This record gives sequence, structure tokens and C-alpha cells, in this order.
Amino acid sequence: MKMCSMHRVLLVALLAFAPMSACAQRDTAAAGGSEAGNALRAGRYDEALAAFERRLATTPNDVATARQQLRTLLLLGRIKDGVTLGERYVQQPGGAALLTTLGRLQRAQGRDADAQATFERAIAARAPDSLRARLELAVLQYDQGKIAPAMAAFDRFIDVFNERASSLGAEELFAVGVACRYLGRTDPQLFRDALKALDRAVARDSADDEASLEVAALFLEKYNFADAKRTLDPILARNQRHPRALALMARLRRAEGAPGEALGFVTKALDVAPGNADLRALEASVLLDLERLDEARLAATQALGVDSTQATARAALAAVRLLRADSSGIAALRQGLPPNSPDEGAYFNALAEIAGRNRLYREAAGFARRALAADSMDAHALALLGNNLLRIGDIAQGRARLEQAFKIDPYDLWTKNTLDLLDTAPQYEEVSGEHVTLVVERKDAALVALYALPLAERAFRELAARYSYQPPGRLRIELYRSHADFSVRTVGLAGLDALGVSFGPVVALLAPAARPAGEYNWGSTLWHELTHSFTLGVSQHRVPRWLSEGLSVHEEHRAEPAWGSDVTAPFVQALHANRLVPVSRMNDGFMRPAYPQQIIFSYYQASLVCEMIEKEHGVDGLRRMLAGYAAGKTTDDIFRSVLGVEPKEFDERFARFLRERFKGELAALTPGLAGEGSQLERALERVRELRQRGDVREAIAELNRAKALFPAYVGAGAPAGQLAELYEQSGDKASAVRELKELVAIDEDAYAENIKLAALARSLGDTATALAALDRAMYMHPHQARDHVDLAALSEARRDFEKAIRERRAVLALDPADSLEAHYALAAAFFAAGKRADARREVLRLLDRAPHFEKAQELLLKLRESSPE
Amino acid sequence: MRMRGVGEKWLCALVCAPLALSLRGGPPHPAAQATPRTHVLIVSGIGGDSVRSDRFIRLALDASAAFRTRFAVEDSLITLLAERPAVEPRIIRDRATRDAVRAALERIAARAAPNERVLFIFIGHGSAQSGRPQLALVGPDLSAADLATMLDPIRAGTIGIVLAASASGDFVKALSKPGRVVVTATKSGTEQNESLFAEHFVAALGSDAADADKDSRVSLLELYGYTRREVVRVYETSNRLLTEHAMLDDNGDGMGHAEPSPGGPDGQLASRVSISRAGAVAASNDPRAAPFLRKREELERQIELLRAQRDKLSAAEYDTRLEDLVVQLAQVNREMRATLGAPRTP
Repeated sequence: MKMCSMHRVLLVALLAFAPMSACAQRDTAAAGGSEAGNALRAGRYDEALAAFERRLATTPNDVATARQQLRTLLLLGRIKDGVTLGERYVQQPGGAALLTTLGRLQRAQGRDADAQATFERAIAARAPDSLRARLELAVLQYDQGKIAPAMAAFDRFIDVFNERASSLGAEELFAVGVACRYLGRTDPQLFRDALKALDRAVARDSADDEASLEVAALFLEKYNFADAKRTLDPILARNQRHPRALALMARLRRAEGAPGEALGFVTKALDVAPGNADLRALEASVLLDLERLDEARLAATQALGVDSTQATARAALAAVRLLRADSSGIAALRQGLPPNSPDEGAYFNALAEIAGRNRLYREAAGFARRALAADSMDAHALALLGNNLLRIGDIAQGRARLEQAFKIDPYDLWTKNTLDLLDTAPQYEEVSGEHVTLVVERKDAALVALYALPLAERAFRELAARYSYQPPGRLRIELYRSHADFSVRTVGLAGLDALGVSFGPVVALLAPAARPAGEYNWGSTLWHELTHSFTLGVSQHRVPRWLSEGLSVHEEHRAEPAWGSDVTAPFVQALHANRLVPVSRMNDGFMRPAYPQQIIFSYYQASLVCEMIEKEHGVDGLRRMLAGYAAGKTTDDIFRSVLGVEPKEFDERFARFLRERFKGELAALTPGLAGEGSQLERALERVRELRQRGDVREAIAELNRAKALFPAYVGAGAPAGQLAELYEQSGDKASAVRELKELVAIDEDAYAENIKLAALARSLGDTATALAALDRAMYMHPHQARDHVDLAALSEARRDFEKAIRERRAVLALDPADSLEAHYALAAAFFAAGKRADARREVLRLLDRAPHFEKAQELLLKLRESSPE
Repeated sequence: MRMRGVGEKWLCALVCAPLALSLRGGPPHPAAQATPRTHVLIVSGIGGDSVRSDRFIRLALDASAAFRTRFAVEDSLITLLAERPAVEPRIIRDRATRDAVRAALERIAARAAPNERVLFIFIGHGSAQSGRPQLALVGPDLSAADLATMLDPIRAGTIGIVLAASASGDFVKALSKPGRVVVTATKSGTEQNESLFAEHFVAALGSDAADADKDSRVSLLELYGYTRREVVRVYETSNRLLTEHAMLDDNGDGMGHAEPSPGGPDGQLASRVSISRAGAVAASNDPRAAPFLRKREELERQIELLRAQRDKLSAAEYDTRLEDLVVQLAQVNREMRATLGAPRTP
């Protein structure tokens, strides 16, 4: 195996903010100092344009002012005006100096051929900004897919820098920086040179923000979000209306997972430059993130109205079709882009990103492949392909693509993290059943597989029957002991606050050992994620998040009553305060929660919606909804066609249902009018006082009243838990058992309570209750050998030898202190179960290690003596 | 109790007296061999507070009880010193002072024959200030140099020294000699956190779990292996970093190993120094057992030969032959138990 961790050095530290930019001094001031320049820098664009016009009216041959005017029009997206003026200006004496800017305006219109001719004219005329023209020409070639000549042209900028570094002006240094940025695709170290040149450009002319913005874009491209923001902040502090700075900030916030804020920045930018096609395209992308498909389509169409070649806008239009399950037009939208060009790559990359974000992983991989067909060196496409292949279970190919991506782009922290995680593969073991393969850390594999494999197979069978769907291949279930590893597997970074994730064919979740006992039910999590695999499959990955989560929780409840979210006091309080989202907007509760807890409430709320739908329409209703999504229907369409109800009407019905269902809880938890606590709070306060006074009898009575007020109360201080404690203290074990049974029936994390219940029930001779309690505990924390020994003994006492064998195996998997004794117990369980061959194999293995082991010798004799021979 | 400065380490230790340690030379069943006497000195050091003081004394008493009942060591060969003899005056002979330790070891030196063995166990706190390893006792502490001097006159064939104490690692160098097995709870004097070693070492003495090959006797190597594994398990399962790294030295080179084995460099002697369970000792001393023990020895020899041929046989053939021999062994054991009227090992 390649030792990636030894040499996989992330270059991010090498591409960091250089304070030189901040203290740069201007040495040229085309726009600075003048009235127009000041207005321009402050974002008073109309004022600046008026000043330019006045100046040009008096001195029509003022090339510097004309250039600023054209650049300002370009920045504001007033392309037509700019082109009209530019074409006039270049005819005038000295007009050659404006050819490069005119060429840029023509490009913004999508007139690449004209732009190319204009740049060539600028070079031929030895215009003062001919180096910039050379850059623009190379960029144009690059964008047209003529990568080799473009790279050769970029390479010449290094010579320019080496030969004339000290005499280069700000714009020339800018050109060198941009050229180095393009050259970085073959030598990532050149991104540092790009930064160096751009920093010098800033130092040479701090009045012009173009170089600073390029620095910010470079940081953003190389995932250094902090320095990107640090570069943009002073520009926006000076000019809150700078369209490009606002656009970069929007991209930054989008990359940081805040599309709502990103939209705010784009909107501000568009207020200033409504005709800017790139900004409109960005707006379309952000609107797609926010699932506002119709608005996204409108924005993309507007962008293409300005520049019909705008790849991102075309991708946004294609994405709208993709998300509506309409693949027609996706190929046609690509037709307007130069074949095998970076624009074509960008088109498919954008589609891959959107597809991946919408859980269409297979499609995302397909789009990334097409991006790679356009440009095999596209690191972003390689990373997208690699990640999506990993999500659909093609680990080998996924890893290979990520390795390629990281070679090209060693700044990509996400890819590095994922590759580092993949390097730990030898520490994992695969255990396969009929329909699923578990991937578990070796030290956990033997134990976890005993429970996870049968549970996953059971879930597979039951869910396949429920949803009339058979996943096309074996499901891969990865269990991670480390939360950070799970998080990296899911999003490429540590810190994801989740327990599990389903990509459809691949499920990842925390292993049982990842959290302390009593904080995690891995069994319910596995069931939840596997349900996603089925609902994603049935809907061809088009089920919206709210319904998918709702069904997963609903199926948890169906699998085991204690599993899954349940009503909580904060949920009831949110219901009371009308802070739950209506069903028709429930995806917002997951994707754009108005407050942190809303996402938690939405899980339970969505499960209640599913419960209600199944009650009224049967499981077939749920299946037809999923089929509707597979066909590309919207939630509104599905409510009408499947449930026969208008979305608004359903919202109202569901709201009534909630208030009726939780009528008692609402009454118990609503604070009193006089500002006193709720009934429940007051009852629990009385309990506290009574317990402090030692009045057990009255405390029990009050606790029973509190429990009746809010029967679903679990966790610390729960009335049922307190009652069990008091009953046990007073010697009334039977009542303690009754209370604990009630508690564990609704609390999926009640490990300690289940263990206590088992002990109490066992002491009362109630082995069935004890056994059930220990069985439940295994899905919370199977790492306690004592629990397995107890469960084995109970199983043997009830002649459930299969379970006894499982438990004896579990003890062995925990590497017990007395492993021979544990092997002996397993052999004895085999013998008791009539599994003579297994018993013989086990006892011989034992006696091979310890021939003196008398109990094992006796068991072997028993095996011989009871032999059918 | 003496107050110690902040940051100073507390050490915990155990002392011991003679017991029925046997020197194992090879595979024959332990009960077939004569079991030389073992002198046991157990020292429970000062706790520093009532919780630790109580715990150390309880552990020392449990260890003493295990030697007496599980391993049939004569009462007269067991000496227990502790911080508060009043807790169990019938068993705790004296306060755990340096003079009392010296006196106890002098008594053992006077009684222990060259073919016998001595086991010294300390349960308590240890420290290693200024490079001077010490065990915390009532009154002046016991330095490594003091202990080495006290042990020197003992002529027993083997001396086992178990220092179940924090910061005990530096004792290895001072006490290491040929014929000695030195076990420390930590690898150096810098591991000063309170040690879990004593708890698990005493548990090993009190159960069959440490008897890794179920031959009714437990070697110092088995006791060490069990204890070390269980200490590590506690740290792992509670997601804590291991702050005590136990060591064993038995080749006299003054260098302990964390994972000794019968193959050495450390572990050879410790694998041969073992304590037999009470029943096995009784059987070995009964003349009626002799023919059975001889048969058993022969079968054990054949099993060893079979094991040596394992690579040349198919798995099925190996199992068949092994089963045949082990069944014969089991039958011999069954007949012997019937003859002696002995209960089966639990």
C-alpha cells in the first residue's frame, strides 16, 4: 500500500495571507485622487460614470479615463454600453490602449471570436497593456479548450517576471499572477508564485482592487476561506457595493454552507450590476442550493440573455431539469459550449455538484466523468468523481480518483482527509451477510457483527417488503469508532454533528463504541439509515429530505417501539409557540432551520406526518408518494394526486392533528397565566421537596401525577425513573420493575435502566423481562462482558441456546481475561444446543491450548459418551 | 501520616510471605511434582487517606486469604504487615514500618531453604524523588537500596518481588538479580499516578482467570500477564491514556520488559515459578495418585510430541489424534478423582 500519510502534505499552509498587501502603497493612480476615482472606490458608480463623461467631454483623448469608464461599465454589467463606447474609442487617436478592455467587454457578451481579434490587435499595436492582452488571449484559448497553447502562453509570463520584475507595473504583475494561477494546474507550487505576483501588484497600486480581488479568489479556490474573507473585508468596508467583492463573498459563504447568506451578497451585487451575467449565474446556483428551482431557472435565463455561453447558467438550467427528473435538454444546453473546454468541464462540474448535493450520487459521478472527458487534469472533477464513487460503494475507483485529484490539487483538505481515512482501510474488516456487507474496525468486528449483521438483514427483509423494492446490489454498512472518521467519510471534514448517513448503497454510522453507554442507540441508527437506502432507492434518490427523514423515524418506531424520536417537552413548547414548520415547508426545517432545535423537532414532526399518511392511506400511500418523486413530481403535486388534498389544507389538518394529539402535554407544559411554572414543573418541584423531606409515600403519589401529565418524559429526572428508584429503595422490586419497563419502552438510550431492570427482574425470577432488557441493551452498548455473561445464562436457563451461543461468542469477542473459560462456555452452549460438531471443534481447540483443563476434558468425554455412534 | 508535597508521587505496594510456589521445568502436570514451600510477605503501605488506606488493607487481606485458601500456603509461612493492624489483628502481624519489614525478611531468611521460594508483595504508594525510589510505609519510607539490602541474605532458590505501586519502575534496577522475578506496576519513577495494578493482581490471585492454561497452577508470568492486560483494558474502555506501564524482569539484567514470554529475554523464570491450587497440591501428595500421575505424564508427553508434528498433519488428522489422547487424559483424571474421592476442579 502506498504510504500516503507520509507524503500527503497539504499545501494550504503555504498559501496563506501575506500582510504585505495590507500595507501596500500606491504608486499609480489612474482613478485615485480624482473625483471619479474617489467615487469609484467608494462604490458611487453613477457619480463616477458621470465624472468620467464630464472629463471625456472636455478631453476626449484621455485614454486613462476612457479605460476606467469602460472597466466600470464592465464591472457593472453594462456590457452593451461598454462595447458601444469601446468600439468608438478604439477608432480615435491613441485608441489602441483601449483594445484590451474592449476585448474583455466583448467576451462578457460571449463574442469570443471578436474578442480574440481585438486582443490580437492590441498586441500587434504594442498597446501599453499588451501584456494584459496576451493574458486575456491565453485565457480565451484556455476557455476554448486549447489548453496546450494557452499553457505555453502562460508560461512565458514567468520569463517576463524573471526578466523585468522590478519594472513591471501593477497590471502587468496582475497578469503574471493570473498566468501563474493557471499554471498551477500542472505545478501546484505555482499558486504560491501567483500569490507573490498578485501581492506585488497590490503593493504597486493599492487603489485598484482588481489584484486584491484576484488574491481573494485564489484563496477561495484553494480552500483558504479565512484569508479570502480577510482579503475581502477591507474592500467591502470601503465599498459595500463592489459587485465582484460581493460575488466573492457570496461564493465564500456558499462554500461554507450558508446559501441563505450567500444569496444576500449576490442580491446586493445584482442591485449594483443587474446586467452582469456571471452574477446572475451565481444567483441561479445559490437559488438551486435553496431549492428555489423556478427562481433559479429565471436567473439562469437572464444570465444567458446577456452571455449565451455562460456555463454556470447553462448548468443551472440543466440542473433544474435534472431535479425535476427531466433529462431532456441537458445535452442541448451543453451544445453552446466549446467542446473539451474548461467551460464544458465547468458545466458538468456544476451539474455534478448539484446532483451530489441532492443525493443523486450516481448521476453526479456520471457528470464528473463528462467533466473529465473535457479536461482530464480537472482536479475538481476528479474529486467530485472520487467522492461520489465512494458514496455509491466503488471504493477502489473512488480512492484512485481522489489520489489523482490530490496530486493535482494538494490544497484540497477534503480530499486529503478522505484519503487519510482510506489509508486506514487495513484496520477494518468486512463481514458479509446475504444482502449487506459490514465494514467494521477489526477490534470490533467479531462483536459488532453478531448483532449488526442479523439486524441489518432483518431490516433489509422487512423494508424490502414494506416498500416493494429490492436494492440492486449488496448494501455496504460502514461503522466508525471515531466520530471524526465518520464525519470525514460523510463530508470530508471533522465536526459533523450526526450519528449516521445513508448514501443509498452505502451507509455510514458511528460504531457502538463511539459513544458512552446511554448516549447512543446504534441499532435504531442503523435501522434509520437503512430505511433511507430504501426510500432513496424507491424514489430514485428524489425523495425530499423531510419525507426521507420522516419515513426513517417512522420505520424506527415500527421496528422497536422504544426506537426513534419521540415527543419531548421542547417539542411541545415549540408547538405551543407555533414554531414548528408547516408540512408544505418542512424541508426548510431540515435544510434551513430557523433556529437550531428546529431540525430536531422536524425529525419527529415528519415521522408523525408519515404515521398519519400511513394511517389514512396505508403503506401503499407512502409507496405512491415515493413513486411520484421518482417521476419528478413536486411535493405539492404529490399531495394533490396521491393524498387528494391541497397542500395548504393538509397543513391545516396536520396542525389540528398535532394539537389534538398533544392536548394533554400542551396543558401540562403551558406556563401558568400568573407567570408560575407549568403543571409538570410544579409537580416535579413538589417531588423534589417531598424527597428532600423524606416523604417517600407522598413523593410517589406526586410522581405518579407528574407521569400522567407527560407520559413520554425520559432522561434525567423522569418520573418513571424516580419512581423506580423510590420503589427499589423501599423494597418494592415488583413496582420498580413495572416503572422501569414503562421507561425503557419509550427511551431508546436507557442503557443503565435496562441493566437495572434486568437485575431486578432476575431477582424476582422474571427471566423473560430480564432477558428482554439485556437484549435491548445490546443495541446501546454491547461492550460490557458482564451483560453478555448474564444474557447467556438467562438464555441457557430459558433453553434459548442460539441466543446463548451468540452471547458466549460476544464474550469471546471482548477478549475476556479468562479466554479459556469463555471458550469452554461457548463449547458447552454448542453442546446444549445439540451442535455437536461445533462443540467438538471448540473443545478440541481448547484442549489443544490447555490439555489439563478438566472441565473441557469432561465435556469432551460427554460428547463421546453421548455420541450417536 | 506524613504529608507530601504537591506533585510528589504516592506509591502503592504489596509485600509477601512464603507460598507453595513450584518450579516448572516442562509440560508434566504440576500435581505430579513436589511443591516446594513458598514464604509470602505482604506489605500494605500507608494510604494517605482513609479511602486508600482501607483499600490497600482490603487488597492485602484478600491476597493473604488467596494464598491461604486457594493455594494452601501454611499460615505460618504468610506474613502480613499493614498500616492499621487493628483492622484484622489475627492476620495482620504488625504495622507496616521499615523495621517490621526488615524483621519479617530476616525471619524468612532464617527459615527459607535453598530449594524454597519467597514472594514479596507491596501494595501502596511509591515515589521516586531525586532519583531515589521509595515505598511509602508507616514512619520512614523503604528505599530501593534498603529493600535490596534486606533481600540479600535470603538463600531461597527464587525470590518473586511484586511492587504494585505507583512510580515503582525504578526498583527494577536496584533489585534485579539472577533467581529473582521483579514485577513493577510502572516502567519508571515518573509514572506517578495512582496505580490500578494491585487491584487486578489481587483479583488474579483470587480467581481461576489468570490460570491461562488451566493446569490448576498459576505462574508469576500468568499473574503478571493477566494483571497487565486487565489494567490496560480499564484504561482503554474508559478512553483514558495509559499512565502505568507494568514491567517484569527475571533475567537479572536490570531491564524490565512489558511483554515477557517464556521464550525470554524476560519471562523464562517467571513462567516456571508457579503456585499450585490447593486440590492439586493435595492430590500430588496422595500416594494413591501415583499410578494415575504417571499415566497422565505419559499422555502429556504424547500430546507434546503430537503438537510438534502439527505442521506435518492435516487439520482433521491432528484433531483426531489430539482427541484420542485428550480423551485418554480425561479418563485418567476421572479415574483418579474417583479413586481419591476428590471433587472436580470447579
